[in-house]
Amino acid sequence: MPPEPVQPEPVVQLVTFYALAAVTIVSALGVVRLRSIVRSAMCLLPCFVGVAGLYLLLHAEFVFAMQLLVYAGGIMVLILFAIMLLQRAAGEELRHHNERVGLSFLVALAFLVIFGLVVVAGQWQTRPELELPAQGTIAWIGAQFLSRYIVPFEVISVVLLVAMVGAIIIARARRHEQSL
Amino acid sequence: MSPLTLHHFLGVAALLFALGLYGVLSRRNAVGVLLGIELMLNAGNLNLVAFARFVRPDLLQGQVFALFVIGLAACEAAVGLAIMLAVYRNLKSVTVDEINKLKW
Repeated sequence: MPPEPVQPEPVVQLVTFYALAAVTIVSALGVVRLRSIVRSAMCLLPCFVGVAGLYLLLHAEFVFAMQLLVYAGGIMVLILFAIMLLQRAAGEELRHHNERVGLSFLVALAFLVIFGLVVVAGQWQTRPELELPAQGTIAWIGAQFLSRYIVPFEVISVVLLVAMVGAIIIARARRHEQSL
Repeated sequence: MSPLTLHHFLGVAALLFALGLYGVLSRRNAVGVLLGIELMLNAGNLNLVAFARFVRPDLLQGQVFALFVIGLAACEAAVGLAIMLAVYRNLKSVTVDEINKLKW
């Protein structure tokens, strides 16, 4: 039986939430607005870490760990390597945003308004009376992966293998191009 | 009882998704477009985990789903960046405005 989880003070939870949300949103703003693609990519890191912190606030400990490992670790390194290899194309560019910046902003704003209305007006049936699984969320998710979700679990391992092989084949230089 | 509600997390996710959408639509560089897609995937995941916590905390289906999405996002990033390398090798550019070989 795991020990009873410590519930922080409500004020502490609220302050933590707003701090994490601010980090996430500000760095996401940096991702989409900064001119240098390398700085954009580096802004992605605090954004991923902020989202990971929000997962922790939601008692999603395993998703938190995976977010840090896969996103903040793997995907970040992958993106930085790609920028390094594409440097001549990504580095000194005159215009970093296309001529549809205003239109893009309007589309994103319209989406935000619609989504905000849905969030505010929707009848969300939350179930605060239900408890988290007694054995802890990580043990519960592990058991679920190997029982109820065993088929998707096996399928995604095949998908990962196929994506890995596919990425190597697509990115590999063909023999007659290797002298370039 | 926690002072945080479902609305808090849905609000942050909506902002994050809108920012990602803006990035996808406004960037010229294909890597920048991919960064926007990553933001949108994160927003979707945040929604899934928030619903798992507030709607069915006893089953946590949303967390399982979010984990699958993280796995697929890793695949997407790997294949997407590989395609960019191939495009750059062939066209010497990753600017999405200039990649128009299929547009006749």
